Formats: sequence, C-alpha cells, structure tokens
Amino acid sequence: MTRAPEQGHSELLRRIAAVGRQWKTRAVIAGVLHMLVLVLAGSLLLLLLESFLTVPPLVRMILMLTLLGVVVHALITRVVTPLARRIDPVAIAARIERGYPELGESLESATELWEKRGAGRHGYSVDLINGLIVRTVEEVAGLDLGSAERPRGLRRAGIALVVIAALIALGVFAMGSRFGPAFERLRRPLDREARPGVVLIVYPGDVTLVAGDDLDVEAQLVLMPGAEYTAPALTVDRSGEVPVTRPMQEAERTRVEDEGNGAEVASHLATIHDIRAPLTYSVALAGGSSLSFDVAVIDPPFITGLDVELAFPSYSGLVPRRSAENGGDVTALPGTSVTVTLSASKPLGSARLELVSGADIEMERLGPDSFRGRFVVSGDDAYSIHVTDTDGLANATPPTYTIAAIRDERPLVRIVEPGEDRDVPREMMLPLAISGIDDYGVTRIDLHYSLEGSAEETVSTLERYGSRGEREVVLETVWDLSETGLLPGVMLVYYAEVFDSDRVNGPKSSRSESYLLRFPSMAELYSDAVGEQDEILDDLDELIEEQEDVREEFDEIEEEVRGDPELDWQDEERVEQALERQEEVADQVADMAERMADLGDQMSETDRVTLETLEKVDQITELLDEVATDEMRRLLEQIREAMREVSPEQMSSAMEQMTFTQDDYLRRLEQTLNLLQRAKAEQSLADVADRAEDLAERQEQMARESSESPDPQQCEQMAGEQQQMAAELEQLKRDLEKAISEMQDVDPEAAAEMQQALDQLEQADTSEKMQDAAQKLGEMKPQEASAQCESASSDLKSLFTKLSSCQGSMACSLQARDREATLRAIDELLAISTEQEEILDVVIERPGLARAEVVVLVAKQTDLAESLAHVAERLFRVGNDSFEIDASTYRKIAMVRGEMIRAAQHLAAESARAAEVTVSSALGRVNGLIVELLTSNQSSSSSGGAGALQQLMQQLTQMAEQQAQLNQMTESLRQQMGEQGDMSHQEQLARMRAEQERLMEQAQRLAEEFGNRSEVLGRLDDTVDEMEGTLAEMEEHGASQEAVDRQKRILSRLLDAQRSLRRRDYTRERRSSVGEAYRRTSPDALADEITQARRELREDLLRAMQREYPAEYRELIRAYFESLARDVEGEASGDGATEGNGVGEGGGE
Amino acid sequence: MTRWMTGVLALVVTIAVVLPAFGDRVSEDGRGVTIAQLKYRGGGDWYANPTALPNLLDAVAERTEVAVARRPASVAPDQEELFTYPIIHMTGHGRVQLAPEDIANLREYFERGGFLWADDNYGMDASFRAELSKVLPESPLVELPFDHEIYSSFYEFRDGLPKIHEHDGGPPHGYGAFLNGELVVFYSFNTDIGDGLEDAEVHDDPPEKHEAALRMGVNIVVYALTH
Repeated sequence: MTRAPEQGHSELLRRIAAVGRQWKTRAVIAGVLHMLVLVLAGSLLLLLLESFLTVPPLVRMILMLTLLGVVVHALITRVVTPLARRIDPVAIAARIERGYPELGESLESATELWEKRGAGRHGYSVDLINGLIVRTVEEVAGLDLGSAERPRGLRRAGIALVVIAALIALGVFAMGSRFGPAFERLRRPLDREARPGVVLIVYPGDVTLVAGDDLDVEAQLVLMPGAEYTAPALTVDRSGEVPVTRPMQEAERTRVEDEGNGAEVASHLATIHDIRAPLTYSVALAGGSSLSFDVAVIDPPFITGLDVELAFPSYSGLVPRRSAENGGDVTALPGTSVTVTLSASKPLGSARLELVSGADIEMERLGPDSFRGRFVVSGDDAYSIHVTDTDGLANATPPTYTIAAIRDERPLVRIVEPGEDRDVPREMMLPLAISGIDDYGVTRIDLHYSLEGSAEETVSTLERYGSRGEREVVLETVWDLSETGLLPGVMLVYYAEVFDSDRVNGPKSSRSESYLLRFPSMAELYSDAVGEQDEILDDLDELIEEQEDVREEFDEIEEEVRGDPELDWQDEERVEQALERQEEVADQVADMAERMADLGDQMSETDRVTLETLEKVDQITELLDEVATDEMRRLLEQIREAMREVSPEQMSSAMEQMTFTQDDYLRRLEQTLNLLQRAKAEQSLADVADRAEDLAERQEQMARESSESPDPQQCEQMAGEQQQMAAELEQLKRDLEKAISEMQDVDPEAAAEMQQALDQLEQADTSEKMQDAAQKLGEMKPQEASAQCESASSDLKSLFTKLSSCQGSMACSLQARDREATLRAIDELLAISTEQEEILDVVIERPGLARAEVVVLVAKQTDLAESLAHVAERLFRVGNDSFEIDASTYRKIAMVRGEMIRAAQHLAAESARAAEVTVSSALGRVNGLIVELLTSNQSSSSSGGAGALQQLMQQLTQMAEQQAQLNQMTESLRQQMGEQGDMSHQEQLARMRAEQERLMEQAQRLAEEFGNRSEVLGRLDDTVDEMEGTLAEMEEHGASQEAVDRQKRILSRLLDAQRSLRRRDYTRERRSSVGEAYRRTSPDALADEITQARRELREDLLRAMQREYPAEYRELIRAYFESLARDVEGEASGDGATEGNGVGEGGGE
Repeated sequence: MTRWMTGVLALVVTIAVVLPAFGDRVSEDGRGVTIAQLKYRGGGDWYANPTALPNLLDAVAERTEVAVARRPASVAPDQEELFTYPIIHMTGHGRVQLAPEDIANLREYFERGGFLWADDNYGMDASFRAELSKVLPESPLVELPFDHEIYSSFYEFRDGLPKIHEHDGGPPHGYGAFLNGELVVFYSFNTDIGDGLEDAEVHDDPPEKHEAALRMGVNIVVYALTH
C-alpha cells in the first residue's frame, strides 16, 4: 500500500518521537541506578571505614561530602540532564540509522528534507523528497526502531546495585555490632567520640516501651589496657524539658578473654522510671558521648467504659438494675446474675473476668473494643477485668471491684392476736392474726402446736403465698381447736412459723413466740360461771337502786309539772339530767341482757349446771331483752320533744307514760333479780346434790374395791383416793352451807330442809368415816375400810335423796304458790270488774247525778283503782321470783289503773260522755286482764313453769318404760299365737290394745298440752300417728309382725323425744342458721392400707386393659380383678383378725 | 387434651362400663339412674328434706353428662331392690336403727359396689355411727383429706365440705368408710348439705349456700358413679 508523502512523513516523525521518549526514559533510569550505586557503594565504603577505623569527625565529614558531591554530580549528569534534554528527530533518526545500517541515511534525510520541500533553490525537487519519504516509510515499516540501540548502562547499574546491596546485608549480618555504632556515627558525623582506647556500647539503644514502664540503661565500656576513663553519665532529654544528666552506677567489670588483648568490659547501669512520653537518652564519658537513642512509648489497652447490670433472683421481686456509670462494685443478693460489659481504649484481642474466689470467665466479644461477661453472686468476693489488645499487650493494672453479697434476712413473725396466753374460747374457735414480714417475701405460714405432756408436735400449714411470696402479710384466720384434741384442764402450746422465699440458699424460717392455750377444767368453768352470776346479781341490785332514784326524781318532776306546766330553764336542766340518768339505766339494762346471754353460754359449757337452771337463765335473758326494748328511749325522746315544743299537754302525757314504763322497768328488774337469785340458789342446791350423788357412788365403788382384798400397793393408792374424797366432802359441806345461805332469802322452808340434811350428815359422822376409811386403807386394813366406805356412801345417798326431795318440793310449792296467787288475783279482779260494771250502769242509766252522788261515784272509782294497785302489788310480791306470772301482767294492770283514774277524773269533772267512755274502757280492760290470767293459769297448770320440763321428762320416761313392757308383751304374744293365730289370747290382746290406747291418749295429751313446746318432743305427733296405726293393725291382725315393728318405732320415737329434751337439742340447736365459712387444715392423708387394695387393683387393671381385648373380655377382666382385690382384702382382714386374737390371748396371759 | 376433657371422657367411659353392672337401677320414671332414699328404722325421719334429692338430680342432669332420672326412689335396707340402685342416700335428725337383715343386706350391697351417702341433718350422728359399725366393722369412718377425689370429681372444693347450715358451730367434716380400698360410704357431718339442697325458700338459704350444696351433691354423685 502506498501512502501519501504527508502521511508518511507524519508517521515517521511519530515513530521517531516515540523512540526518543523511550530512550530518554531508559537513560534517566540508568542514571538513577547509577546514582544509587554510587550512594550505596560510598556508604558501604564509609561504614567499613567507620567500623574498623576510628575516623575523625572531620575526615568523616570530608568523605561524606565527597560522596555527596559525586552523587550530586551523577544526579545532574545522569538524571537531570537527560530529563531536560529536548528530543531531536534528526538526531534520533541518525542514532536509529546507526543501529540499522541498511537504512543508510534515508531516515535522517527524510526527516530533515521534508522541511525543505518547495525550497527549490537548494536543488531538491519535491517529487524526490516525496519519493524518499515514501520509500523510507516503507523501509522502516517492519522495523523495531526502539531496538536500534541496546541499553548498555542500565543493566550494569542494576547488577552493581544488587551486588552492593548484598554486600551491605552481609555486612550487617556479619558485623552488626560494628555496623550499628558505625552507622550511628555516620548518622551524626559531627558527634564527639569517646576517648581512644575506650569503646562505649549503650544498651538497649532505641527502644519502644509501654507507657509507665521503667527503662534500664546499660553502658558497657570496653576498656583497652591502659585506657583511662571516667564513670559514664546518663543524659535524659524529655521533650520540652531541660535534659537531665545523672551518673550511672557500675554494676560489674569483666575481662574479655576471647579477644586476647587484655580488654575489660565495665558495665554501668541506670534506670529511667515511669516513662510515659517519648524521650532521648545518651551516655556521656569524659571527652565523649554516645549517640542519642530514642525511646518511643506505646499505650497498653485500658477500659474506657464499664456497664454492670444486676439481675436479682426472681424470688426477690426486684427489677434488674444497672450500676452507676463506670462503677463496677456489686452489691447484690446471692443468686444475682451480674453482666459486665466493657469498652476499651483500643481494639482488643481478648478480655476476661477473674474472681478472687477462683473463677476465670472468658468474656464474649461484642465489637472490636467491646466485650461482655457474666457471673453469679454467691457470696462476698471481688473481681478484676483483664484485657489484652490485638498485639497481646495486656492492661497493666487490671481494675478490681468488690462483690458484696447482701444477706437475705430471716423473716419476722408475730402472733398479733391473741398475742398472749389465754383460756380456750367457749366456742373452741380461736381467732388468730399472724403477721409475717420478710425483706423479699413470705411464702408460707405454719402453725405448730403440742398438747401439754405430749412430745408430739402437730404442724399445719395455714397459708401459702406463691413462690415469690408477699413482703408483708397479716393472716387472719380462725383456729378450730376442736381438732386439737384439747381437753378440759389441759394446756396447749402453739407458735407460728414463717418461711421466706430464698430459693438460692433454701427458705429460711422464723418462729414466733410460743403462747399457751389453757382449757379450764369443768370445776373452773363452773366457778367462773358462778362468779359471773354473783357479779350480775350485785350489778342488778345497784341498777334497781339507781332506777328507783330515777323514778323518784321523775315523780318530783311530774308533780312540779302538774303544778306549773311552764318549765323554766332550771326545770328543763333538771329534766334533762333525769332523762340522761334514765338513759344510762336503759344502757345498763341492755348490757345486762348481753351479760345474761353470755352467762347462759358459759353455764352450758360446764356439766355441773342443770338443764332447769339453763332454761331459767334463758328465760331471764329473754326477760331482760324485753326490758331493754326501745320503748324507754322513745319515751325519753318524747319528753325532750315536748320540752322543745313547749307543750305542757304533751309533756304531761309523756311523763305519765314514763311513770308506767318506769314501774314496769322496776318490776322487771326486781323480778330479774329475784329470778336470778332463785336460779342461783336452786343451781347451788342441784350442784351439791349432784356432787353428793357422785361422791356416794364413788364411796360405794371404793367399798367394793376394798372388799376385794387389794394388794398393798393398791391399798396405798386407794388410801390417797379416799383422802381426796374426804377432802371433797368437806368442800361439799362448805358449799352446802353457802347454798343454804343463798336459799334462806329465796325459800326459807327449803333452806331449813337443806340445813336438816346437813345436820344429819354431821350427826352421822360421815367425814370421820371417810377419814377413818382412808386411814384403814393406809394401814392395809381394806375390809374395815370397806365397811366405813359403805356407811359413808349410805350417808351421802341419804343426803342426795334429801336434797333431791328438797328440789322437788321447792318446784311444787313454787308452782302451787303462784297458781294460788294468780287465782286470788283473778277473784279480786272479778270483784273489781263487778263494781266497775255497777259504776258503768250508774253512769249510763242516770246521766244527771246529784253532786253528792257524783262524789260517792268518784270515791268508788278511786277505791277501785287503788284496789287494782293492791292486786298488782300482791301479785308481784308473790310471783316475782318465778315465771308463772307473765311480767307484762303488771304493766297491763297499771294501764287499767290509769284508765280508772282518768275515769274518776271525768266523773269528778261531771263530763258524762267522757266518763262513760273511760269507765267502759276500764271495765273492758279489767275483763280482758281476767281472761288473760285465766288462760295463763290454765296453761301453766298443765305445761308452763320452770318445773314443766322436768315433769315432761318424767312423763316421757314413764311412757317409754310402759311402751317397752307393752312391746315385750306383744312380741311374746305374737310368738305364742304362731302363724295361724290363736283366738284364745284375745283377752290378752284386748288388754294390750287398751294399754296402747291409753299410751296414745297420754301422748296426745302431751302433744296438746305442750303445744308451744312441740318441737321439744321431736315428732311426738308422728308418734301418735304411729300408735293409731298400731291399734288398727292389732285390731285387724292381732299381734302381728307389723304391729311389733310399729311398736318398736313408737318406743324409738319416745326415747328420741326424751333424749332430745335432755340434750335441749330441739329447742336451741335445731334452730339452724346459715353456715359460716370455716377454714381449717385438711385432715391427714388416708393411710396407705385403706386405699392400697384399690390402687393395686387399678394398676393391674390398667396394665391388663392395655392389651386389645374384645369388649366383653374387658368386662370379664375388670370383674376378675375386682374379685381378686376383694379376695386379697378378705385375706388381709382375716389375718388381721387372727392377729388380733393372738394379741388378746397374749394380754390374757 | 385438656384436663377437663380428660375428666369428661373418663366419666363417660366409666359410666358406660359401670352402669350395666347394676342392671335395672332406673327410677320410676325410667329415664336413667337415680338415687334412692334409704328408709331406715329408728324414727330418725328418713324422709327429711323432701325436695333435696329432686333438686340434686336436676342439677346432675343439667350440669353433667350423667343421664339421671329426675325423681328419686326410696328403698328399705332389707329390700332386694336395694341392689338396683348404685347410690343410696340417707338423712335424718334422729335415731338410726338397723335390723340384722338390714345389716346383712347393706353389707352385701357395699361388697357389690354400692355407694351410700349419709348426710347428717343434725341428730343422727351417734346412732348412725353405731349402726354403720355393725355393717362395716372393719372399716371405721375416717375423715377424708381435702385432696380426696370426692372434693374435685366435678367441682373443686379445696377446703373440703362446704358449710351450709349452723347447728352446733364448728367446721364441717366429711368422713368415709372404705371396703376393699373403695370408698363405699361418704358421711357429711355438721354441714347439712341436704338442707342446702332443698328449695331455697324452705330454709331461706342464700343462693350461694344453695349452690354450694348442689355442687357438693353433684360431686358426690359423680364420684359414686365413676369409682
């Protein structure tokens, strides 16, 4: 291909320029290498000189400057100049033609002549030039123009450089100790040198330290023989400070044996302490100095941030907490999990926690300079944090922190209620309040108790509060003491135990103070009840006196009001004071009613109070409850209202009403007092009678045992018992005297009878007999003692009989007296009624009476009112110590009397119409009163009265005995009659029917008479029905089995009624109420032997059922196992029975 | 499967297995198993609380899967019919007396898997205990712990028997007599469940007491039928 000349020329120029640049670069590189060769060669030469010769500084300096000059020259000539030189295409072309002779001069010509093309005067034609160019281009087209010259210097320089570098490395390796100081001297060419003959070597030279480290500098002086030297000094030059020089201490001197020239080495030491910043140091000798050495300082890693998180044990209920910033000390409960997170001043390689107690915990990497580790607090301890950077440099002083384990304190427990030793409450339910407090939570409260004299302690858990517990608890519960087996006269010790929620070290517990519960003995209970009764009597006495005073005060006020209805300030003050006193009395009455109710409960707990006494106490309580109604308070309020309203009429009416109410109050209080006195006297009598009977029985038993030839040991024991009984008799006699004294005021006749019984006892020398018996027993004369005991028993039985008789006669005479008094009152009221009727007739029939007749009529009406007052008074005086006469009767009489007085007033005022109304009203009320008394008398004669229960009991007992006899007769007759019946026994059957009929009528009568006490008899009505059925059966089938069964049921019901009456079940306890919630501990788990058979059966059955049998087989399998279990159980029972027999026989032996 | 579902399943399965063993022990209305009131001797009013058992049967029918008749039956302890009732109930407030034939029959009834619930209506304690000791001389009444199944067979009674009525005061007691490891007599004492089961107006019971009595009654019936 032929190019255009222009194009060819341009290409030639471009290629020539490229070659020029290439060659230029090559020349510069060669220059640089050359220069380096010079530098290294010169340096090597200098090092060698310096290593083996002591070159003076000046010479050293000249040599070094010479070297520098050569190097600079080389730089200028071999590097700078080629770089600065312009590329000449013609010269390049000429150099190329020298490499390619075949080109001749065509390339140079082509380059040079192109510029002359067209300048014809020089003789070159254009075509010729163009042709030359074209040809030249073609000639060089396949040539590598850059290769026209070989790079000769470059290679040589490279080889030289390598050789010299190798020589230097070899020298350093072989003569490092010489090269080092030589190099230093060359580096500081003008530094002075040590004296000749002394070589100073300083260690460690340049060094890098950890901040805070110390640097030990050693100066070794190699002393040639005869060399003189002075002790070296260390100069420390800290940046920004004046250099400090201090002498070094000679440590040792040794001879250098291997040199063989007698040289010695003197070693001197000095320490630079706590280096925290870079510095230089040197060692100086007289006339010279070592080189200066650099000390570089690096920092070890250190902790820049610390975060400690505490996760407390869950039982503590504490929320997780972080410690204060950078505070690593830990104060926590044992079991707390501590998480330590750190950040360091630089990237770390590792970090760990080290506990003083021994644990070494690797921390987990969170980031380049952040780590986290955990441990659990188990007690007082300390931990340190060790960090190591990526170069293996550890923190110089690992921080150490304390671990303080907080003690989980023991809980505190206290029995708040009762919080003292106490007697067992009557209801056997003890309210308990137990407070427990713990720093982290109470989980459980237990109650421990043990009975006096028993080593066994019972523990029951009262409450659980979950795993975390409550920090402060107050448990209020009621302890059912009936479960404790506590018996009268026995004490129980109890305390509470509280457990905390420490699940790390196990729950800790604390115990409360122990308290005693004492169950009073029956004698003490009785004594307490009697004491309370005495107190009530005294208080009642005072209350009556107070009521009488208040009553008089009101009378005076009423009198004044009647005279002057206008009340001034002083009058009102007086009325108010009287009202307040009356209110106080009312309050005391209400209080007294409550005390009476409590007394009844108290008495019912002891077995020495009779049923009758309890009945009376109940009635007295009811009486007081009636007194303590709101009527009195209502009247008091009415009087106050009248005073506020300034209403004389209202005031007068209220005062009059108050008078009646106060009378009623007084009467009821007096009646209560008398009833209580009587009840107490009767109870005392009953008590001594019971004790006499008991003592008699025990004496009789003692007589019996004494007659059975007891051995000496038994005699001695019996003597003690007999002595005890003799003492009891003395106490009995004292109590009897007291009972006589009490009875004296209540019933003198009964008291006389009791005294007579006591006198007879004294005359019989019963005490002496009992004492004598005790003595005889002590003297081992049981037969003689037996006779005395028997005689004493007889005396005591006699005493019991007399006292019992006295009780019976008292009840009868009381009832008779009251009935008589009631009948007499009825008679008198009838007479009053007759006269009242006469007055009414006169008022109605003769409206216009003369004044004289009116006066007579008024006097008659007034007399009647007075008579009525006498009736009430007599009735009250007679019947105020019994329940025969209803207390409301007195109030009703008083109301009738009031009506009569008003009638007299109307008559006196000659107000005919009003007189007629009031006289008529008074008559009606008198008659009503009579009817009530008659009804009451009729009722009380049959069922009422305090002795009614006793009578009822006797009748039931009698009926039951008769029914039992009748049942036996029927049964034997049924057997005699046989299946077919035998009419020859008809007569006997008729008699039995008659007897059954009689009993039925008696039962009917009882059911009717004691209508208001029917519940006492249980199902007496049903008994009557049963008897009717029996009669019908006997009528139809004779003495059949059905009749016999029915008769048995009759007897059961009679006995049931009798039992109910004795236990007072139906009157009091059948009055059920809604059950209260009781909390009690669970009974003990069932004994294994109870449920073992069933458990085993079930296990076997379940195993068998695991196989796949048809349904019918499964049933058979079940039946089989049940049967098997029964057999096993039966065998076990049989074995048990055999074993029991064995024991029995053993006991017999 | 939840505990409740497991309990129901076990109940249904057990009833299905146990019921055929008792043969004909449906009530007069013939619609399922019923409870028979025990007509004992002694005059202790065996017929007390007449509305109690009907109410209990209603509750069992409505609240559980057990098919029961709504009318109770009555049976004397010496009757053969005794064996047709899986549960018998006795109450009263007087004397309980059992003739020798009664004792023998009852003994056999227990041996054959029968169950007696005795509920003291106040007053039958002493005689009941005495008579029961003749029937089961080797099995004295023992107080059941509160974790016994009878207190959790359907409803949960963590503190044992509920107290329905106050007569003597004090907590209620649930006693049991066991034969061959099986509870055959449950004796509720000093609570009067029967009074609580009666129509509420009979004893003016508050609703919660009536409900507590019903629940305990259901528990007893369910327990008796599933054990």
